[in-house]
Amino acid sequence: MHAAPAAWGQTAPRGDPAPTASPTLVVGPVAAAADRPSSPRIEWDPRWPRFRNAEYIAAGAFAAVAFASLAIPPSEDQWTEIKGFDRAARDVLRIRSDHARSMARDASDLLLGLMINHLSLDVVIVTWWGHDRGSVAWQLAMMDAEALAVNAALNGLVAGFTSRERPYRDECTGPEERQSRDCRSSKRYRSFFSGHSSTSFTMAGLTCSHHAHLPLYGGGAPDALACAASFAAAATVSTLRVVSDQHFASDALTGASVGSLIGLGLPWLLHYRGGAAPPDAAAAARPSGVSLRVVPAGLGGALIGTF
Amino acid sequence: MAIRAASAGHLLSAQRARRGAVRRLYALAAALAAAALAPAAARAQDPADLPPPQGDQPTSIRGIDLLQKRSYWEGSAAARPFVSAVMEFGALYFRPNLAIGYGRPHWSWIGVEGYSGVSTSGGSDYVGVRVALPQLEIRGGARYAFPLAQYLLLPREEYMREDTELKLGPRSRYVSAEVEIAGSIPFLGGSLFGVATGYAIVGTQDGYYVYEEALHTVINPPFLYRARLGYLGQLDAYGELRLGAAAEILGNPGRDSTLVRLGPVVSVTLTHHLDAIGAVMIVAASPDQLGLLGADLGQLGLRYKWSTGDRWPDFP
Repeated sequence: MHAAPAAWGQTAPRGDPAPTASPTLVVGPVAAAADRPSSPRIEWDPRWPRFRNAEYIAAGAFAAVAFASLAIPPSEDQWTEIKGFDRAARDVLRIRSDHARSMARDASDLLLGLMINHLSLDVVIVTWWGHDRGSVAWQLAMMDAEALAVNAALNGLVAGFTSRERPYRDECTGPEERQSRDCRSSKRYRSFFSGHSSTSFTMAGLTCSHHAHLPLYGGGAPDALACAASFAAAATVSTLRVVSDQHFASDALTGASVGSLIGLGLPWLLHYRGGAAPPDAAAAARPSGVSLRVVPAGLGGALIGTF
Repeated sequence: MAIRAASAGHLLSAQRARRGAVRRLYALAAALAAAALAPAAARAQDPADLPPPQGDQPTSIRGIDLLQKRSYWEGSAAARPFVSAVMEFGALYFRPNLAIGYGRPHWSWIGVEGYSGVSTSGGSDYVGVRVALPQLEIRGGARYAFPLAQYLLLPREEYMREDTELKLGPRSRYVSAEVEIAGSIPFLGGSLFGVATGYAIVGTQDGYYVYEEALHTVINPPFLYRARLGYLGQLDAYGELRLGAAAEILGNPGRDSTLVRLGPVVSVTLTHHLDAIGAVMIVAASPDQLGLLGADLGQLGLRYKWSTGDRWPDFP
């Protein structure tokens, strides 16, 4: 098993420091990377399993579930009661001004958008372009997509089936055509748990997972700062969802817990904890010296030898 | 030794080709799944707890994409009839652009193009013609917009975000006839780009205003124009990574209104086939107060270019 490295973003010492080839993604950079700033090499530890075929299928299935969950019809009277904690938190945190609440909601959207872009920047510009490691970028992108798909599916199913009414329901009065879109749509009954909170904490967890295992920003403080800033941003998103009256405090706290668990847990469980078969195990088992093999070829067969 | 090397190379190539085929199969399956799932999302009336701008189709990359042309496509193959595609995808959107034409795809060509964009908030279909030169492009076409939860608006002097969400008019469905010219020139170690677009929004009922889904503004149909000017500086010797800013002005003669947006733009070329563009256009002046609904918040979206007759089509 491979535990978390001792220092942020410092690749753990390895017995075989030779860089692994990129067996699944042969990237031809447009131009040489020789003139780019030098930094610690980003290498995919051979002990970390690469994204498996089963994960591609699972991620697609979770994404399908997430989309399908949008069609779950709301049960309008299923969960309308407000318990003590949520009532007290709302009384304290809810912004009174309509305009300020609207701005807080926009701010949560904007911050979440920035977090999405940060995750993309880490993959596309930092890892792929900056470090010229397309194969590692692909792994990170797939891990991100997988975790976000799991989070979206879980959030969609729970929010759809629990059908909790949003705190802003008091504003949903008058004729339907004069109500806001949030009041008219089934979104009104998808309060538990907060999708913004779980998504932002999933992204924060992913950011920390990647920066803890790969020196994307050079290792050390910059990578630690990226992790801390991501969690601070996620906490801000969650808080804004409560103060803008989009969610109860329990929705945001549950979302934060679920998101953290997925963002930190899934990459570790499936990849960063290690467990991959050493890539050169087969080569080590192969007897040294001359070897000959017959393999199928276009016109029947071919003899391949190493000597 | 030479035999072994050749044989091993052949095997390695075969393995890579096989893996490449598997990966392309996954990519195709994912694209088909996304396309197939879109109607499910569409029927659901956008209940997702997601920020609206993230679900919209990206329009903020217009003009920037012109700078992402790579000379690879000039030398990849001779002028010919072709079918090409640009797959745009980000965290919450997917838009395949298809083209049939003659020339060098993604470089200089003439032909017919179309796209179908879907998201949690609706979608649009476009078909048109394009004449593309390396640094100048002209297009014209029609876009059908079908937002899921947007209704035509009663005329007002000024709109708040809440005003655009009311259900006081018929459901918003319209066709946008568009003509656009875009060009770029090298300037101060980078590139200056400009885009001018004219729109005619038709198919709406008289007496109502329209929230234009792609441009994120309220208009009195039919006419609208947009002019965008931007500059992207090269951050490396090869122009793979570019950073800059853009500003745009949208005018609607029907409302006698003008909207100004500006913001940063970034683009990166990863391979000859794959690049990424991101832009954030924040409202600087507007007759309305739509909040983020009036902004154009793009993601750093990936764009994969494909074409028939590509000499080195290996993914990515």
